[in-house]
Amino acid sequence: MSDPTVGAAHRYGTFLRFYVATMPQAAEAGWQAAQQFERLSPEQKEPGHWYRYTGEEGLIEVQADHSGEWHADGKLPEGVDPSLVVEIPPGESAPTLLDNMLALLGQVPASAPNHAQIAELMETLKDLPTPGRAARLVKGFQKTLASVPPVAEEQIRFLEQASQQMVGTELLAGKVRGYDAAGVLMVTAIAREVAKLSPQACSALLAKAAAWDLVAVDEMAARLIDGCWGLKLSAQLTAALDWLRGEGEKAIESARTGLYPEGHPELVLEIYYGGLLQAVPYLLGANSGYYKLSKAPNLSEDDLDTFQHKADTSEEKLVRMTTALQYAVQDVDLARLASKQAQVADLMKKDPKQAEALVREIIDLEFFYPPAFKSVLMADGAASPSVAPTA
Amino acid sequence: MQPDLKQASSAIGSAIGADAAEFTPTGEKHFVAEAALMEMGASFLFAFLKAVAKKAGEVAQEQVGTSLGTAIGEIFSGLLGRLKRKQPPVGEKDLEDARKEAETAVKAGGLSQAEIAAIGQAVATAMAAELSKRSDATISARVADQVKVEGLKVLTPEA
Repeated sequence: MSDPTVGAAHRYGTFLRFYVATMPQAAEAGWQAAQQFERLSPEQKEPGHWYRYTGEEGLIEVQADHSGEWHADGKLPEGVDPSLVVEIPPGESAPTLLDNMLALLGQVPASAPNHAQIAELMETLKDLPTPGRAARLVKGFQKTLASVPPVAEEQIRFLEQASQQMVGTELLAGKVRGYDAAGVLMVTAIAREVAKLSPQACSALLAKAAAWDLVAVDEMAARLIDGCWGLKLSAQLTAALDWLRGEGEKAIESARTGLYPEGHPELVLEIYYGGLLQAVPYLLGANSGYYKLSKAPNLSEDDLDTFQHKADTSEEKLVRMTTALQYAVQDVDLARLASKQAQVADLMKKDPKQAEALVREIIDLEFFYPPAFKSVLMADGAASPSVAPTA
Repeated sequence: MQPDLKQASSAIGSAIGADAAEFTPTGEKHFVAEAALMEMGASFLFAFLKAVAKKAGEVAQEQVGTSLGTAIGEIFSGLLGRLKRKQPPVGEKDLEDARKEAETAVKAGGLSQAEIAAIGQAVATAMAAELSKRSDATISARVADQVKVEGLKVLTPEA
C-alpha cells in the first residue's frame, strides 16, 4: 500500500464501513470501548478473565480457549473467583471514527475537481447520526411509495429497487445507516410474502404505511410487523424474516468466495469488507424482526422459543460481521495482520496443527480476513511485502 | 482421544463453524472458539454413534422400537446441557464407548456396508429434523450430513 492515495482511500473506506454498519452511535461506542480495552495490561487482556465496563451491568466472560459468553444480568456464576473480573475504566476519549474520516477527507486539496462532493460528503457524515436525517429519509421514502400506482406488483417493484439502491449503493457510500437499509429490506420482504397470499391486502397495508407518522424507516417495518401479526399473518412474517436471514448468509458466502484480484491484498480487503457490510442490513432485519415477534402477546411456548432462538442466532452472525468491520478499523495499517502472521509462524514451528486451528479461527469463525488470506496468514510477513504494515 | 475420533470431531466442528449459536441454548449469548467447536463436534458424533447403535440393534432384532426421531431427541436434550459448557463435555471414553457400542451392534446384526450406510442416512435425516425444530433447516441439514460422513468413517473405515 505504498501509494498514499490508495492508503488514504483504504483508511477512509475502513472507517466508513464500520460507522454506517448499524448506526454511527453504536459504532462510536464500540470504537471507544475497544480503545478502553486496549489500555489494559497485557496480563489483563489474556483470555481467562471476566470483563465489566465501568458503570455497566453486563459481564463478558472470555474463557481460556477464547470462547466467550455475554452475561447480561452481570451475575458471576457460583464458584467463579471474583478476582477474575477486570473492570475496564473509561479513560480519555480517543478521536472518534467521524474525526478520523473528516481528517482524511480534509486532506483533499481545495483545487481537486471533486472538492464540492467531498464537502457535501463531510456534511452527510456529520448528519447521519441525527434523528432529523432518519426522519427526512423516511418521509422521502413514504412520498415515493405513495406515488407508485396502488398495485402490489408495482409497489413491490419499487421496494425491490429501493432495497437494491440502499444496500448496493447508498450504504457503501455512507449516505444511509444499516438500520435504514434494514428497514427497507424488511418492508420489502414482508410486502412480498403478504402479496403471495393477497395482493390487495399487501397494497392496502403499503398505502397505510405510506401515510403513517414515522421517525425512521425501520419504524415502518416494526409497525408492519405489528399489523401483520394482528391480521394473523405470522407465517408470512416468519417467511419474510427467514428470507432476510438467508440473504444475509448468502451475502457473507459471496464475500468469502468472491473473485478477488491476485497480487492486490489491499483491494481484496476492500472488496471483502464491503461484502460483509452488505450482509449486515439483512441480518439486522432478521434480528430485529424476530426480536419484535418474540415480544408479541399471547405467544405459545414453542413460538416464543423459536422467535427468541432465531433472534439470537441472527444477532450472533450480526455481531460477528460488525466485530470483523471493527477489527478492520483496528487493523487499518495492517499491523494486526503482521502480528497474526508472526503468531502463526511461531506456532508452525511448535505445532502446525495448532497453527492451522488458529488460522481457521481467524478466518472461518471471526471473519477477520477472507479465505483467500489463509496463504497470507500462513506465510511470514517477509513473504508478502505488499501487506506488510505501512509506517 | 483416538486420532480418527479426534479428526472426525474436528471436521464436524469445522462444519458447525460460525453457526454454533444455532445449537446452543436459547437466551445465552456465546462466542464459541475453534477449541470449543471440537467439543461440539464430539457431542454430535457421540449422538450419531449412539443412535446408529440403537437403530442397528433394532434392525438386528427385527424390533420396532421407539422412533428414531424420538431417540435422537432424547439424546440431544441431554447434549444441550453439555453444550452449555456448565457440565463436562462428552469425554474421550464416552466417545470411544459409543463407537464400540455401534460397532458391536452392527457386527451382531451382520449388517452389510449398504445397510450400515442406510442406517447412517436415516440417523442423519432424523438428526437434521430434530435440529431444525429450533435451528435453521439448511444449517441443520449441512451439519447432520457432515456428522453422517464422519460418523460412518469412524464406524467403517474400510468402506
